[in-house]
Amino acid sequence: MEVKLVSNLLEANDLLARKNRENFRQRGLFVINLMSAPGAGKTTILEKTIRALSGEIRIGVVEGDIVGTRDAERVQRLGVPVVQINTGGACHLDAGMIARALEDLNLEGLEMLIVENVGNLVCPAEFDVGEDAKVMVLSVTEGHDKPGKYPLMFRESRVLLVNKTDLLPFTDFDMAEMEKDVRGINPAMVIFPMAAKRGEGIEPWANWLKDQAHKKRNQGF
Amino acid sequence: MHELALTQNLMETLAASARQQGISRINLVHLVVGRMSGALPGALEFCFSALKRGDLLGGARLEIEEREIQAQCQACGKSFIVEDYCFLCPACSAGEVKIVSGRELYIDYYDGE
Repeated sequence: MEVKLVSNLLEANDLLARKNRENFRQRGLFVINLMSAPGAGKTTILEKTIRALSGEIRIGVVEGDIVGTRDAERVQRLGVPVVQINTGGACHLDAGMIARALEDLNLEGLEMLIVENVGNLVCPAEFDVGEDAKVMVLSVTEGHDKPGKYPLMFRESRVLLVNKTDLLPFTDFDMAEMEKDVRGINPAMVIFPMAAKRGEGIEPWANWLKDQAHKKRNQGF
Repeated sequence: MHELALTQNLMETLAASARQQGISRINLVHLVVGRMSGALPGALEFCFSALKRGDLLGGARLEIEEREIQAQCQACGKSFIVEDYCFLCPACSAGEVKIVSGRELYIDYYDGE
C-alpha cells in the first residue's frame, strides 16, 4: 500500500517558529538572528550595538553556545536582560530552544530581541527561529571567498556585517571581489563594513536596526 | 551537517503514520530533497541505513528525488534553474527573483504493508 504523506522533515521546527513569530508580532518586537563562523566577532558587535542603542531602544538578548556562559556574562555587564542557551553539542539554535529560553526572559517592554546563534556558517541558516531578519557577520580574516563557499548563509541573510576591517592591511581580502560574489547570491543584501572592536562603522548599522525596530513596532499595533 | 537528526525525524514521522494506517512493514520511502535545503542526499542515505532496524523499517529502501533550485525573475518573468547559487536572471540580469523550488525537504510517500 502506498501512503501519500507530504510531510516536511522540518515541520516541527517551522511550526514552533511560526508560534514565536506570532508572539513577536503581537508585541511589536523586532527580532534578529545573528550568525557567523566562530570568532568573527558576533559578541563584540553585540556589545557595541547595545552601547550604541542604549537609552534609545530596549534590547533583550538570547545567547546560543554549545557550552558555557561567557557570552551571556559579557552581555549582562551592559545591563540588558539576557538568557543563555546551551545546546549541549547541537550546531545551531532551533525554534523550540528559543521558545523555551523566552520563558526565562521577560519580553514585556522590550523593543528588540537579538538572538546570537552558535558559531557556525552552515547549519544555523537552515533553521527558522521566528526572526524578522537573519544577520550574518563575515570577518576579513576569514577570506573574501566565503560567499561562494557558504552560499546558503549569504542567501538567507538580509544583512552582512563585514567585520575587522581594521585588519585589511594584513590580509589579502578583496572587498570588491567579495561584494561581487554576494551580489550574485543575494542582490538585495545590505552590507555594513565595520571594525567593531574599535567601534568603527557601528553607527550606520545601529541606525538600520533602530529604523527596523520602529517599523515593526508601528506595524505591530 | 545534522542529517542524523533529520533522519530520526523522518523515522518518527513514518512510525506514527504507519501506526495510523495499520502498516507493519515499510518497503520504500520516497523523499524529496531540494538543493537549497542544506541536507545532503548521500548523508541522509548513510544515516538511514545506519538507523533502520526492527520490523517496521529494517527492510526499507530510501529513494531520494533531488530538486534543482528553480527561480523566476520578477522583472522579466523568465524561469530558470539556479546554478552555483547565482540568483541573477540569465536573461535580464535583474536580482529580484522568486525561488519557486529547491527548498524542499519532505517525505512524499512511502510504500508498506
